Amino acid sequence: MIVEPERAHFIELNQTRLRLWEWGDITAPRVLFLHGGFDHGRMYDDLAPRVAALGYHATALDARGHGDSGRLTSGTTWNTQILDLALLTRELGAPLGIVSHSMGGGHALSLAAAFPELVRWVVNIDGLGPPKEAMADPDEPSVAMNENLERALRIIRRPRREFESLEAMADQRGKVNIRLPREWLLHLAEHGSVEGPNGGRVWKSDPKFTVSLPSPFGYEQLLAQQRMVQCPVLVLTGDQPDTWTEVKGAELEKRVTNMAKARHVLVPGTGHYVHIENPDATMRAIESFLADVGP
Amino acid sequence: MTPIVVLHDVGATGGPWRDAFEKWPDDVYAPDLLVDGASGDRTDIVWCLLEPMAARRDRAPVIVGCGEHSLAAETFAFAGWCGGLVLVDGLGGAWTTPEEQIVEQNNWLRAKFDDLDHVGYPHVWIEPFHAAMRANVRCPVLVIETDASLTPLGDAERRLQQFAGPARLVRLESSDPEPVVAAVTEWVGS
Repeated sequence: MIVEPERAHFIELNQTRLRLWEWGDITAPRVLFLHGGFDHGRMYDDLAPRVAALGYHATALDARGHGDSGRLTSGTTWNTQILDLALLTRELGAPLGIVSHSMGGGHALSLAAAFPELVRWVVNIDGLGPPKEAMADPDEPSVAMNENLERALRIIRRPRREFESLEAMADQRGKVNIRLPREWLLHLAEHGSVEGPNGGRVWKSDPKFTVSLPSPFGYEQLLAQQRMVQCPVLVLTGDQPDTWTEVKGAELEKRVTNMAKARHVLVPGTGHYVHIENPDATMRAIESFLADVGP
Repeated sequence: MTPIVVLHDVGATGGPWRDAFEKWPDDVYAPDLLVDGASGDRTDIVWCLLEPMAARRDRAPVIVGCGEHSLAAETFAFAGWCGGLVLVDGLGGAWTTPEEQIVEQNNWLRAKFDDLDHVGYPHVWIEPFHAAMRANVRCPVLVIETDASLTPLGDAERRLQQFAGPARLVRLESSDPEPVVAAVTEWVGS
């Protein structure tokens, strides 16, 4: 069930402005919710109030380059976003628990590896990184890099695509996130877009985010980083074919056991958006986890 | 001749390079790069250079990358946007393992967390990453090394072989703009 946030505000840090959405008692232990790429904090409009009802102060973030938060200065955002999180966590009162999805799961684990004193525990929903083969070099690296630079130029030069309606945006998302219910596709489109110059709608998410430039961060680095995570981690994944759910089976277990205090719960009948597709089972797993690790 | 694009090192400015290239017989673009490692990613400044490089791309510019900003210069050469690549103390430091890379990255994050004005990049140089990139740099390459280089002694010659295109190594006493411009002028003329 979609529940509007009880409070919304901005916080200024790291030369940007971040949007926060909140539910629950402000004196209760804080839980920070981190969304995935192209999403925003309102994707937790069901899960965050459920966690708040357990006695937490739930705070969902629009990450830099997403939702109402500040734009990107470039496409190379990972370290900047982790620094945003470290500074935000200090402002909110560390250490705190983190619930995270997809790219947000990677953010949470990067934060926990670099700043163990800021993170009490992590719930990671299908966010242990891309499959190994997706992190390998392309067959024609120079051609791929030229295409990336050309795409970056187009992003700088051209206005964003304007959709005629929220329904059209939901249709576009539905082609990628094939398992998301229509109600959620429309919800994510409504809060993930603004009115365009011609009266239509444009996505808020910054397109620079989609450009990859050369980076020495690969599969071995991913494993090395996750090995440094020492806080308790609950990994939730689904078992249904879906976009961005390629890490499965032995590779998934390898990544889970790579972390000192991680456990994995499979939520049957779900794909990438485990918490939206089966919130009841997601909450049972989270409650059980929190019963073990504390607030 | 050919256009020149210069990416100064972290903590420097483009001014001395603009002065030193004053007599260059073609277009010289040596901007002040203000990011100084703000994002922790050495390719961040590629975004600042997209339009200037696109405007010169058809004339096969020579791009000069200094120190930490060499990777951005290499990126344009990697993508085939340059007629030549010059690296000034830009071959990178001692190779780091994946574990060391994450430790260095975390150290950089913690330094920024303590002081947002901290400049520079994580001390990370991954051999397979650089080797794979350089194996696709097909334009001529001039590598200028000085005593200030972070590259371990004796390793520059070996790293030179990583480039697909013809590569030449020149040792100078200083990475100041004047001797570098002289070396670049001689190299382009040859």
